[in-house]
Amino acid sequence: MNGPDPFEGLERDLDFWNVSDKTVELAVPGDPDLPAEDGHLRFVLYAGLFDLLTDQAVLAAESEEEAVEVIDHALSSVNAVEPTLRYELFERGSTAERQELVVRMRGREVAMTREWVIPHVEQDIEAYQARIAALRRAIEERAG
Amino acid sequence: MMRSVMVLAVDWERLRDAYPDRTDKWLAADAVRRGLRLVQGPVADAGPSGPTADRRLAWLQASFPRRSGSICTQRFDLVTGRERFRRAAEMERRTYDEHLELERDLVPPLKERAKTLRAELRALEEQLRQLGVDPEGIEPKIDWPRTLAVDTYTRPHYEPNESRRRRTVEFFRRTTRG
Repeated sequence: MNGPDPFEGLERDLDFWNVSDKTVELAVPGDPDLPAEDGHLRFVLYAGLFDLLTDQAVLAAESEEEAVEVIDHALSSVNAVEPTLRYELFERGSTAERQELVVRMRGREVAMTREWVIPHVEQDIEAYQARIAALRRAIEERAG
Repeated sequence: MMRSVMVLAVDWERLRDAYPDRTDKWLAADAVRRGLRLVQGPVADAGPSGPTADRRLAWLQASFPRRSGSICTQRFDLVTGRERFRRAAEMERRTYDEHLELERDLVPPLKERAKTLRAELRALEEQLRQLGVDPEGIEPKIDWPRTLAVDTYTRPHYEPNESRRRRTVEFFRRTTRG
């Protein structure tokens, strides 16, 4: 290579459990052809980002063969991560959705128990105790 | 009008390192322009078999950026979702513990106490009736419809995972023996 390999360390950066989650926000010209949805726009930008890196790899390579080798290696790294990435994204996403639903439902139940059931039963107990005392007095008076 | 888009910092750093003389503004605009051309263009076929280097290179240049873009977009969703996944799991565990504490340790003694008192109260009322006294005339009265009915309440049985595991192992041991 005549210059640095732009895909150096790509495998490490594709490790989605350990790569930093720090993000950068970029301003791009509002072309009417750009997709409205953020995820689709990110895909467009990432495709262009890798196109720029690919150009740089071709420039840095000493021959077409070397450029093919470098880009093929990067492609293998990307391909290797795909199955687990897709699975984890689906699995983690749906698990989190399920857990968030459970948290909402269980949270309501906990609040209901704390704020209504427990005070209600405690209030009932006080009323029962007061009536039991009154009934006992009445029985003692009657018996005495 | 400008739009904004987020990417992982590590990816942006990679591009910056490859083009140290270019500004972020230039790189972002060029990446979007190139990306749009790639996304709107035809999807490259599977790589040519046994190709010459120039054909293979042309194919890689056409297909690799798009494919990497797709994978990195999904990776962005997963990486930026890690905190949400962690928080959801932690909240689920926390509310589970809280719910368990309430339903196992706090509510049952109260409901059992209320159940015992209701039975005692009814027994005393019956005793009074047998003594010829109408308990309805004695204050304070209970507004029964407003009370929580606990007469048939039974304490829930919580089984620890370990004993459930032991029972399952025992079950299969018995069935496979036969």
